[in-house]
Amino acid sequence: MDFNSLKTIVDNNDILSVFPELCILLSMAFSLFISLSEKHSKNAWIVNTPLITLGLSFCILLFPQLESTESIYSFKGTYLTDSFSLLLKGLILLILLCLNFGTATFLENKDITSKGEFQFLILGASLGASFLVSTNDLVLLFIALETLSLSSIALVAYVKKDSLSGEAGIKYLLNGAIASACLIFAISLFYGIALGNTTFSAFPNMLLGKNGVLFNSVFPYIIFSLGMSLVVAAIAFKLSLAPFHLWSPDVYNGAALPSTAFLATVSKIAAFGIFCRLGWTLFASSADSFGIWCNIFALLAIASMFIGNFVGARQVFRSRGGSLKRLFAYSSVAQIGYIITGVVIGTDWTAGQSMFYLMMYVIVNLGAFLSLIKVENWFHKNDIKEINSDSLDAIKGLFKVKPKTTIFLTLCVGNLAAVFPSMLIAKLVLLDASIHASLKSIFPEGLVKAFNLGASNFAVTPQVSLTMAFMILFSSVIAIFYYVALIKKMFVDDPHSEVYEKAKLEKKGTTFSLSSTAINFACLVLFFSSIALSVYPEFWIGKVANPAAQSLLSSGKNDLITVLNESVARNKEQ
Amino acid sequence: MLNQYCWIIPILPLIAFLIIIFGVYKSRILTACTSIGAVGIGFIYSLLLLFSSLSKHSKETAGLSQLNVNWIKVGDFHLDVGILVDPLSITMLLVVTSVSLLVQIYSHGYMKEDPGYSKFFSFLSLFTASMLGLVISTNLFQLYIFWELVGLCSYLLIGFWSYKESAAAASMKAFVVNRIGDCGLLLGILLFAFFTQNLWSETGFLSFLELKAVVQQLTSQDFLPVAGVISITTIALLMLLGPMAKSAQFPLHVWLPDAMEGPTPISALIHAATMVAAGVYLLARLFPIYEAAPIAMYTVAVIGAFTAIFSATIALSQNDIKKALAYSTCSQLGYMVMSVGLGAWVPAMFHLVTHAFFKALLFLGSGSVIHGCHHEQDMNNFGGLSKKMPITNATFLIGTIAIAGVPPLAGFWSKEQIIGASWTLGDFNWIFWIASITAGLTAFYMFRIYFKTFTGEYRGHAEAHESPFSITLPLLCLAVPSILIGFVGTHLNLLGGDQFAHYLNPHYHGHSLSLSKFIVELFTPQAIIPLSLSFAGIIAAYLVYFKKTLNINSFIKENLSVAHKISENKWYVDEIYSFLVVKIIMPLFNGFWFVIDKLLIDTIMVAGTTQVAKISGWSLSKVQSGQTQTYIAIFVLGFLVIGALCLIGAVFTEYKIDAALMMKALSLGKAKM
Repeated sequence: MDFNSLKTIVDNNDILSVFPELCILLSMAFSLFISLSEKHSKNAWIVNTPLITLGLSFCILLFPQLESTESIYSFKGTYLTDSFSLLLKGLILLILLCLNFGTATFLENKDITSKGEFQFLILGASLGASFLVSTNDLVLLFIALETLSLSSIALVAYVKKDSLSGEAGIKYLLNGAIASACLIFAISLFYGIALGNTTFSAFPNMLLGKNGVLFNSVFPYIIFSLGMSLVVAAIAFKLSLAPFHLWSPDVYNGAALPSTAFLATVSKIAAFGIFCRLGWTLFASSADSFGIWCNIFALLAIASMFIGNFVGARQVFRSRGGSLKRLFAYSSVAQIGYIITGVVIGTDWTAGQSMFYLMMYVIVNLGAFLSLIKVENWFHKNDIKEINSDSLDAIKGLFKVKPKTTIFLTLCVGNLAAVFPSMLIAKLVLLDASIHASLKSIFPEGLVKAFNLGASNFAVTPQVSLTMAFMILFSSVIAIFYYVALIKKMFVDDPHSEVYEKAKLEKKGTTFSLSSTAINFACLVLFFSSIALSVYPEFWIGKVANPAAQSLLSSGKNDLITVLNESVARNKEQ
Repeated sequence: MLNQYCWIIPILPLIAFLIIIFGVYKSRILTACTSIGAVGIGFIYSLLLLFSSLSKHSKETAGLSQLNVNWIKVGDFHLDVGILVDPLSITMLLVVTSVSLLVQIYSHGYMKEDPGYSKFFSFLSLFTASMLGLVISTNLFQLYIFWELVGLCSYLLIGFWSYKESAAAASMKAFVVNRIGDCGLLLGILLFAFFTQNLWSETGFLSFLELKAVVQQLTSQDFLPVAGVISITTIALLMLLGPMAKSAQFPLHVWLPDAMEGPTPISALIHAATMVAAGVYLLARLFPIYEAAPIAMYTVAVIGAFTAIFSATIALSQNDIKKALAYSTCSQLGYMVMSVGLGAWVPAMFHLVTHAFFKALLFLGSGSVIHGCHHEQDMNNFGGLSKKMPITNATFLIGTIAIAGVPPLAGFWSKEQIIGASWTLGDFNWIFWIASITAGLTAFYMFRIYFKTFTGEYRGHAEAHESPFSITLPLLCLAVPSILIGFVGTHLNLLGGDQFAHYLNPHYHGHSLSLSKFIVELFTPQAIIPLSLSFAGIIAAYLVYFKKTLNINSFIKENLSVAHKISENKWYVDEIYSFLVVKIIMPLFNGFWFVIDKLLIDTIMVAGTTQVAKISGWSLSKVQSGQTQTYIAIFVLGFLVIGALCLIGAVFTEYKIDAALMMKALSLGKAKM
């Protein structure tokens, strides 16, 4: 055995393939242990840091050793390690690390009795998320998803004294219950069609039937359609795609800022992971089902971009100042529409662009939330009562009060608006691809053939992708409006009189505080990550995102080919 | 190895810029050390590059290396970045780092009392970084980025004393005029990229090394070779606008004299030695394009020649020492542009190098005088400074002799080569005469400045004194290359013979001459006419301004009042421009503004979009009632719609991803039946 290569070790040890999850589990145990002590419970983040870093470095070290078409199966094929899962897991751990630093400030200010448990819940939800991106089995999928959901619900309802928080928790629980019910029902249907198999590899069987016949009667087709629409609804709920997004503004609004940040980043990554995995392995086993899946999600993406941006813009129009968290909730609805665009167009290079967009999105989105945590913390410390730290008025004239935070927030918001290079380029590529996919509907067929327009095979139909291209363009304009309105508020407007008075009174010399250093460090990490992604995007797309997308595609294809071969062999025997 | 890491050279000043603005701006000495240290390392690195390329040069590897990577890729379109290290860029690296190093040392003394000391050094570092990035750019697109960056730094530094109204106006003027040029350059680049999209290699989009082959392909395309020539001429003329603005060629020269409102070190570094020469550098890089477009090439020569003589006539009557030097810079840049237009880009680069040193010396010398005389710039208030400022006097005199073209100082060699190149258009052609007369005028006005400043009686009021060591040291350092640098490019085989030309262009077939032949060559008309005109200019200046045999003021009043007025008022170019802008352009574009901007964009598009967004946002948000039962109802509704879509999924299924697989599956089904 060659111990020089991490890959070989992981390949031979089932336990080591879940190394990042083990790290999270261990730090969960530590934070639970620390939360027993009243005095130290708020310092759980210090213990978590090295373990999460360890998990992160595992992902970073293993990633370059995997070929893009290679996947390691463990635990009897239920658990899968490939470039795609490693990329998303690495992202989850990076976000978790920064969030870990960010929560310390939050926990100091709020009147919360059991502080260690907040960390515990975040870690628990992340554990679910981490399992979710590399699951290869329906049962594991459900368990991981429930681990994520239940911990998230507890996180949302964490601030017990705040009635909004409790309301949000109940809403999330009720809506989430329906989505989970949909999913478990779909799983039971698939279990039936797939003749008692739960691994994803068995799914081509499901589509091809017992003897390799594709839907040879009407009944399985109806069952399949029912199962598929249930899965689509459940995943769209998790991704908060319109029209399944209705819970998200209320839940984001009610939850505490770190919980909201978690929902907007880690939860999104996990949902994106399972969305891609199901789509590109389960439904990609036949061209028909893949086409249906892609088109339905394309329609949902169009609706999300439209609704997210238009209703989001409304927050700025409000006369008494809208809510920042609601604004970011709608923005995340719209952004997830952009993110899945590349996946539903249905080629591996557009999926790579989507992954790059996702990387950039979670980094700058978390950056925005950490800045808001800092602002809220400042409001809390200075005892500002007249305006709510969540309202849009709170960031008025922020540049005069907290210039460094403002510049960081501007960087994040500008990236979300895609006016800075990296997200602009990612959006441009998605636009380019959707226009290419729609060329067939614009030009007559002869012209398309002659000039080789739209030559690649796109899963999405030309009409849908044309709508999508228009919607990307149109909704981006609206999005720029409200993002830039935020920037304008921070730089141009004058701060609220009370804020200004308090800022003038604040002492120049800053006293050292561990928690504020930690959150500043987290901001710095995110700042440099986003700069690194912006300066040389082609490296990250070519070396990181595209291999991940290819691994996603190939794991689906490989399964299908083995199953086909098996059924051919079986036919011959008969 | 050395070449691979040469991106360090521009990165270091950039880091210095960041360190200064975010870290050490409170300490003056640390600021100076950071900034000077960064460019000093760059200078040493450039020297190493030069030596390594010289040793490689003999082995026919031409000291050439480039490193290109894809930066942005959108579908088939890609933009690339990288570095290009060849003799041309190494030459420019050396010029920029050495002059920048000396100017920064000088600035330490010159700006000592200024409250914006650290700001000044941070801008200087940023400028140095951008300029170095410009010269090692590997393609047009990357060059354009740095082109804009140096323009920005120039704007910031001209308006450095922005509390002075004249400085603020001058920086605005420089910015606007450069926009006109950059707009043309950008259009040219875009047009060129559009025509040649598919002719570049995988990572070499718009790169300089592939330029020649691509232009040849463009002009010799099978369909309509004439159209290729027309398009390349259009491209070349549009691109010419960029160098015209940056290198201050007529009619876009108006910003350069006003730019002297900036601190004197800036005038020396940016507006004499490096940035304004970037236009000439770009023309040299784009030479294959101009070679393919003879009309554009001739235009370049005409513009250069006209600017040379035009600015020289203005310089004759300027009394502000820096303005006179600025017009001299315009005139010398005219020489270089003319030389490229004549097909001789190697002499142009040679003149660029020599000019960078002696003009930086002259500007820094004038700065020393201004500093010594307590911020007095009018030459009528100078005089007799040779005794009070001996070092400044000596070095300024060296610079003056160098620019006047007296052998064997630097200016003589490069100017002689340019004028020699003009002879190729035909014996005694008009460009040759313009170049020669300009040489005479140059000698006259430069010695006029020297005599009026350093000889005679002191006419000022404040007590003049010699400048401190940090100011005189760069002067002494610059005097050395002003004397000696010309020898690297001379035809004399005593000193190697055409070393510089061979270095830049390995295919160059020069004619190196022995000393005796060289002296014979000196007496051919193309050499003796400009040389004797130069000496005539010096003698005339000596008689008028030193011996005072002729009372110049009354002489002008009697005989040359009209000509003097035109020269003193700079040919009324500014007045013509303001008339054009105020009386013609503004009313016309006010109309456009009202119809297009006000009515079409503001009212219909912007306000219309806002209304649409407001109304649709409002109606959509009605669903967001806060009632969980509503949410769940919509969830179920959405699920039903999706289910229906899945069932009638046939509408989506005409597009097969894996048709072969489908066929296989279908055939398996049939086999069973």
